[in-house]
Amino acid sequence: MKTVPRWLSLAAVSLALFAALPAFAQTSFEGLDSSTQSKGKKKKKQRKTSASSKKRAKRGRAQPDNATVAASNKETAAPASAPASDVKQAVSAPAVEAPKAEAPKKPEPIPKPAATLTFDAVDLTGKSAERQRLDVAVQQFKQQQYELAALTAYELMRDPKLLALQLDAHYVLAKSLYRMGMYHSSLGEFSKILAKGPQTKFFKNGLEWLFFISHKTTNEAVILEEIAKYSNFEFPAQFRGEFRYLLARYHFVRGKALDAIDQRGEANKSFDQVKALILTVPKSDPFYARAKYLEGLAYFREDNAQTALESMKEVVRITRPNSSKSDVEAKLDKELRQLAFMQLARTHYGHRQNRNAIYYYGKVERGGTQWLESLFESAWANYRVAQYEQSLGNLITLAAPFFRDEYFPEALILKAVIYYENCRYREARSTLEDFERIYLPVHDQLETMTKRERDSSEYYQILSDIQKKIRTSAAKGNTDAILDKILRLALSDKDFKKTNDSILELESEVDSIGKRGDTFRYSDLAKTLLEGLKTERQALVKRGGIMAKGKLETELAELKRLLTNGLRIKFETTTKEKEFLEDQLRAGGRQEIVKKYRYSVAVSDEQLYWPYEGEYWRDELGTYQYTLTKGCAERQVASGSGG
Amino acid sequence: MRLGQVAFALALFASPVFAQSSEQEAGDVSEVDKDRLGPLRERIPPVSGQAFLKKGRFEFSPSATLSMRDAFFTKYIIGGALTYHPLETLGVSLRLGYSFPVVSGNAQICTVDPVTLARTCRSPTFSQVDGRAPGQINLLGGLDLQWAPIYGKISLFAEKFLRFDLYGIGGAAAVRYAGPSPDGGSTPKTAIGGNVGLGTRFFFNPWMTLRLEVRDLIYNEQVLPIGTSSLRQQLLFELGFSFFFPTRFSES
Repeated sequence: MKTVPRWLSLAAVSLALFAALPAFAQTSFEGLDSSTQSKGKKKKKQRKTSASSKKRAKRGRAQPDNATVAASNKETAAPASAPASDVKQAVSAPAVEAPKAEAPKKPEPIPKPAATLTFDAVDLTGKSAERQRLDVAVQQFKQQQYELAALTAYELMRDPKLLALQLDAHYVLAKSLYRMGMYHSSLGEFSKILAKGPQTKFFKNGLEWLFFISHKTTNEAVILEEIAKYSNFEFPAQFRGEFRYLLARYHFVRGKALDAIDQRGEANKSFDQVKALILTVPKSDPFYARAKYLEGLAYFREDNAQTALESMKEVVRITRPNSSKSDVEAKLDKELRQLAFMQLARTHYGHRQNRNAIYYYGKVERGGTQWLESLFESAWANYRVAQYEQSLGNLITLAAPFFRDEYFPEALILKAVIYYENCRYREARSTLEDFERIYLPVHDQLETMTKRERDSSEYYQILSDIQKKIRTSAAKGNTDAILDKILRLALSDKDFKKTNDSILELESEVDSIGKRGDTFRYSDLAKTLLEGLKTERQALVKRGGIMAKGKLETELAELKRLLTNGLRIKFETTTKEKEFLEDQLRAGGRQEIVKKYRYSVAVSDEQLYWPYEGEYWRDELGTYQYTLTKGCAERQVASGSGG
Repeated sequence: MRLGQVAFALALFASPVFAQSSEQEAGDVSEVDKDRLGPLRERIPPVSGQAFLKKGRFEFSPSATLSMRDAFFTKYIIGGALTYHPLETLGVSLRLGYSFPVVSGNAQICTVDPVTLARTCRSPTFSQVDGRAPGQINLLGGLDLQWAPIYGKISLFAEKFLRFDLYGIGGAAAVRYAGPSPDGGSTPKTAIGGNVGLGTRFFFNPWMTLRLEVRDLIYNEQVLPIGTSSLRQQLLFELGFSFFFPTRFSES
């Protein structure tokens, strides 16, 4: 056996130590945002960390050390309130960055003594006074004094002497705002940090924080534009699926907007992007189902029904209830599953495959967000296959007092048409009268709202006023039915609803500043934040206004069409009644316009028969079948299918 | 039978919880469970557009009451109750009844022939038990609180359908009865007691119902020997019609 020379073993030990150090540093600096600017400093700090990591808890705030910086960064990378997945992501993320922390080889310049006496006296860390001031902010953040941390960081940012640490301070500010629940303000600050470019040290972490924020805000779309700005950069692996999905959503929304202004070519490009991006989302990714849903919609737009159906079926397969999913995941899956069923039904309905459509409408969860829509659309599908009784049954549910304020004007038209088809002219006319009584005022109100040329944000303002008015009058137990209907109508546009939610969220963030302590409330930071929020609100209001305007105008046109159709049916009904009366006169009064149908209330073994007598029982909703006891004289039964 | 409120449903459906969870896992939930678990439950009351509402209405209810399980006197009570319903589930009622006590079939006077030792029994005459036997109620009054948490409907052979409510009552009662007199015979006495009971109404139309009630009247009655008293529990079965005023109602 050969003996190893002493010098060689020493060298080996040194090498091993050298190799081990970065690994240690990596652990200590978990979560620390690696910097390209201060790499030289970091090397030294990492070594210190090993010695001081246990002591740091005992030290006062006046003596922050580097270990504190590291610890706080570790903590912030995994926000306490962020979802569990975020925590995982954050903890593992720094592993990628850690090598940067140990990259510098140059000896670190000896730090200058602190400028103040106080710091001179206690500075055992060898840090600059500037760094110590930053450490104060970090320490405050670590001690969950987020307001103070934000104020300190903001002060540092504005200090021209601290240019080198401005970004660090900015990062602390953005994180503090997040922890204070001021997600929009935090997003604003992170946007500014990201805007400094990918070469800056907080770029990658900033991107991660975008996702954290999107998980907290009511509308994840608020970060879409930010995401789109950095679409060419590599996102952290944990967020890649989410990133691609969000980017696809961004293109989807863009494509829809382009479609709305008839720019088909550009819209096609956007939708192609959607499809391409979705192909890159792996099947195992939690965002796969949502991505597939978008893909289905993109194919549906192209009228590629077969592929659209396949995508939607895939969504249904993936979102099958599964006990291994968390509550949040299960809830999201459930909602998506309902949407997929609706889309499957609509695609079939669009291709006149009515029974398939009815099958999928029937799959929509009872009482869920899509349920009433599904009942209404299913009523049309049933009408098409002459299942009038089922169709009218669905409309009974829609007429229940619980859903009185839901906006389904066409339901009454459908009801009138079915009565008309079954020679029940009196009922048809009475239904049309109901329709006019309810919806003519809505039409008039909509026309008043839309006929004047207004700035788009004014539209939002009108709806916002209605919203406030309804809220106040609801508290008094007295709501304006027409205004309520108009608001619900506008909110039935999902994009508008989300934008509205964002605006409300933003307003509550503005209000939250007023509720904070005087130090924060009257600070320059608060003023700046308020200004930022105001600007963001204006942008959102403008966007919401455009959506509201579009929605209200579309609905006005639709209501006009329905009113015209109503008049047509009325005219047809009157003509039929006249013809019948003439026939009756000719027959000497012996001719019957309607006759009693044969009907049975028998139900299958799995069902129970309860007559509907004007009372709505919750567990009966959605199960009604109307019994047409009389109808056209030439028919024997109500429905073509025999009921 | 379906019930509009939670209590019964919870009791009835308490057992299949385990089965439901596995069904849910399979994504297969029965229609009944859908109502119990589904999102409609969170935002919609069990019934709306009710065929009958009581809130803000007066209920006048003439009734006939029969006492049950009487040892000495069977009471036939003619009376009525006036109830006001400030809430759908809550009512305050004032009741009054005039009673006709007759000797109960259970009451027997038995004698033993000293010679033959044969035992013969016969029903006593009214005067024989007057003031001597307890439970000789003449007049009844009471102030009750009514709680009607259950509204439901029932199917009779899948042909006829009836709506009903179930209520519980409790309150104070004043009882005028014939107590023992030191001179023999009876003397009128008054006692304060309480009422607890259960009742149901079957709704015929928006203003008329059939009312059935079982009540336990509890009061302290003076009995022989003079100066002693005993706690009596008198079960009463009441049958009556109720008329609601105003005759129309609107769902708020």
